[in-house]
Amino acid sequence: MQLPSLPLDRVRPALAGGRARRVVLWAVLGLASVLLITYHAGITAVGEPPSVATLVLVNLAAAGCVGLLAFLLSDTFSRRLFNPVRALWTPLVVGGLGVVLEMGLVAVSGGPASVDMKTGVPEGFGDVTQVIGVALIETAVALTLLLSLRALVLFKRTSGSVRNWRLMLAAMAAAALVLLGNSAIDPVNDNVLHVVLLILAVGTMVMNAFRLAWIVYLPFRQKMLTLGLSVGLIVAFGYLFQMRYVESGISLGAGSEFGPDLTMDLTLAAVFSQPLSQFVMMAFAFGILYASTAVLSLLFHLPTAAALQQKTGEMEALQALARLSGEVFDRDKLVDTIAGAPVEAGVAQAAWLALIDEESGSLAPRITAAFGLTPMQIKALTDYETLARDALASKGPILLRQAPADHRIRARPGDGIGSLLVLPLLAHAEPIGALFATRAVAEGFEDDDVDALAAFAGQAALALNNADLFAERLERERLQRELAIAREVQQRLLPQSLPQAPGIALSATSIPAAEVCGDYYDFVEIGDGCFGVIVGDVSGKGTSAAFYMAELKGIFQSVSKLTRSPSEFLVRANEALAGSLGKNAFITAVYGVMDTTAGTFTLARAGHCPVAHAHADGTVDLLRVGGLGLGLDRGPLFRRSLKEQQIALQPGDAFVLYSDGLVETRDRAGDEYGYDRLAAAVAKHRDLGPDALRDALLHDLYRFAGHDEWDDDLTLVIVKWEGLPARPPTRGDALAAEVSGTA
Amino acid sequence: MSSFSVTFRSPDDEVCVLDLKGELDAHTASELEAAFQKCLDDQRPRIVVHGGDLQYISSAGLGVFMAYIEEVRDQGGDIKIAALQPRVYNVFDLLGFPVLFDITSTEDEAVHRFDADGA
Repeated sequence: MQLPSLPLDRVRPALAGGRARRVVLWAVLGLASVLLITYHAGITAVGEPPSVATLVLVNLAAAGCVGLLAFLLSDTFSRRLFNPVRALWTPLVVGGLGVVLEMGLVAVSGGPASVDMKTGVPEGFGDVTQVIGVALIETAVALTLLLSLRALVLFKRTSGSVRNWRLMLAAMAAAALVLLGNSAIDPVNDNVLHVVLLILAVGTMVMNAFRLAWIVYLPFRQKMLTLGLSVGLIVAFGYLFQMRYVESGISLGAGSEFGPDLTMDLTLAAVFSQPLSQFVMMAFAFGILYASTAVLSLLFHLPTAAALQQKTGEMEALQALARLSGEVFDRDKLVDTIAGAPVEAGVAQAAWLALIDEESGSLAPRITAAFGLTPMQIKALTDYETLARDALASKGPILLRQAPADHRIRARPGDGIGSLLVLPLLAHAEPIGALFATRAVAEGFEDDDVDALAAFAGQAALALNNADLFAERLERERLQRELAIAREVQQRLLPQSLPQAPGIALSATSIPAAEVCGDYYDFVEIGDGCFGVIVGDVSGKGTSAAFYMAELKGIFQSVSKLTRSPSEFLVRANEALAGSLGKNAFITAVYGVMDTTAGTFTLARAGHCPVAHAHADGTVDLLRVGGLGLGLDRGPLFRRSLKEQQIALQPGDAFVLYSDGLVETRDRAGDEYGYDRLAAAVAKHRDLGPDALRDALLHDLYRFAGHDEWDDDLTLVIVKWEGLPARPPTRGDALAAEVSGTA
Repeated sequence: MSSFSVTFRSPDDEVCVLDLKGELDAHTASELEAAFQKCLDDQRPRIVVHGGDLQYISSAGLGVFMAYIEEVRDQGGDIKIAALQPRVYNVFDLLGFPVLFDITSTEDEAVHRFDADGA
């Protein structure tokens, strides 16, 4: 039943309507049957034959009943799923049941029914019961048979096969219906139309009897089963067929005026209705015919069934493995699955996979997995490397039908490699390796084996390629996660908040070009109103730069509080870094110490970009005090190169410390932002607060660059000197004023 | 994508001149490394880097000079840098390279200094 898949709101009314109609039709059928039974009982009681008109009427009613019953039953049968065993089993059971019931009827009636051969009317009440019973049983059996066989005949139907089936039914019905006026005792064979239609019916039966396509698709066991059922059908219906005539008790004996051979034309069903009897006979005949052709066909197919099944099994196994390999992303497992597939499917006795290992840098394929033979044996018996290369070069399978005769095979006959198939594995035309399959016998691979294995190899290559891509993606994602963590950790190395110091306003930002960067900035309160600020830039980018940056932070935190001299700090930092910096690595840094008490800003530069100093009057200086980058010299040269510069602070002074990522940012034409643009921007925005100044400078940079993707790390630190708030007058001040006043 | 190339010239048997062209950054630094290494392998440690066509140098590029200078000098040679464009020279200068390296305005001057050193 496919009810659940249909929209219920549409199905329910239709079903209800169908059910109501079916009930009405069954009622009509029941009523007609009762009338027919009553008629036969009546005519038996009267003992006179009916008029021709009555006979036609009765036969028409009987035909109508059969048609109605067929219609009602066909609905049940057409809902069944196709199943050859069931299609044969059902009529066999129903037919067997018919035999038993008919025998029972005869037994209950105390012997075969007697019919008056002059009138064709049953002689007594027991006889008419038998006639009615047999007619009903045979009708039911015949219809079950036809409806069951219909499914087999119309398997893989075409418009032609449907037409033939309908033609047969029509011929059968017509051949029966032309006998509407015949009673049981009227001869039928002098009706030419009947004979012609009968021949037509037989012809179409033969055509339909060869509709046996379902046999091909059966597995061996089911073929055996249907063979048994078909033989059973022949026996059962053969028995039913001959039961209709014999022992019907209407034998007239040798002394009869009609002659003893008349008995053969008389059946109990014909006493009920001649057309009905004829139809039943034709149905039984078709059943026997169909079962016979089925038996013959099944017998012919049995020897090939095992081979076909094996082949189908092999192909199915390969297909299943190919599907499976598309779902496996574990490369080792996948390699085993692929190498094992030809053996597991039964196509080969040994198989192995030789793959090109790109990481080893060699193009020589290596045996990655082997079944049936060990890698040692394979190496000893075959030159698999050359074979794999040859197959990859030709981009097609290499089949050695007589493997020991090939120069690339060292195996002798009896070593287990009689024939060998090499299948190149190519993914998107890229060579991956080769799949080898061997059989112990020479000529062991048929063309269809080669085709199937080649198709499998194609799938396997794609699966391997997918697994590699998947692994790469996993690795990439893992690295990205690691880098994201590194970035998070590194961001925490930068100051999380800006220090508060009287007279100083700060702002800072650092934008890494990659996940991690080599830029560094930090602040330190040294004490006594002194306050240090550093910006550093490790050479190179990425991971190594990030490690040196972390080291610089450690040095800054431990050394910066020990001295108020920026150059002294840088000398110590250089000494500390000397041991760990790589030969090609260095760090540039600029370090300034602001003494809020003395109102000075002292700075030293270790190879770093000059600090931009904006005066309150709008002039901008680039403070380019001499000094080597950290790590460029590990001896006295560094100390000698360092100079210090001290600036007397004026309120409104702004200092801009930055990394080279800022001045080296380029626009789309390739021009660098440069020091002049920076100086101009600082001059223009010098009066802004530190945050606003930082944003204005970045905005100017963005506008120049036309993009906000940086090739280099970019750091920007703003230090503004606002001046100390005016101190409240002290005694000393007052005294000084007095002195000056008196002077 | 930045482009960079190194070509070798030998004005005489003693000195090896490397013409740098384009942009020397983290991606292209390995080419200069290879060039220096080749000079060392060929036992020709007197190297003049001609930077007339060098458009840009990053810290990674500067690192290559630092990585090789020691070994070159140990072999009795030197790396002298000549004919840098002002903007590129500024990068070398900011870092203090003139303290560590002979940086000359012309290639001839650099070659002559080798002669003077050798004398």
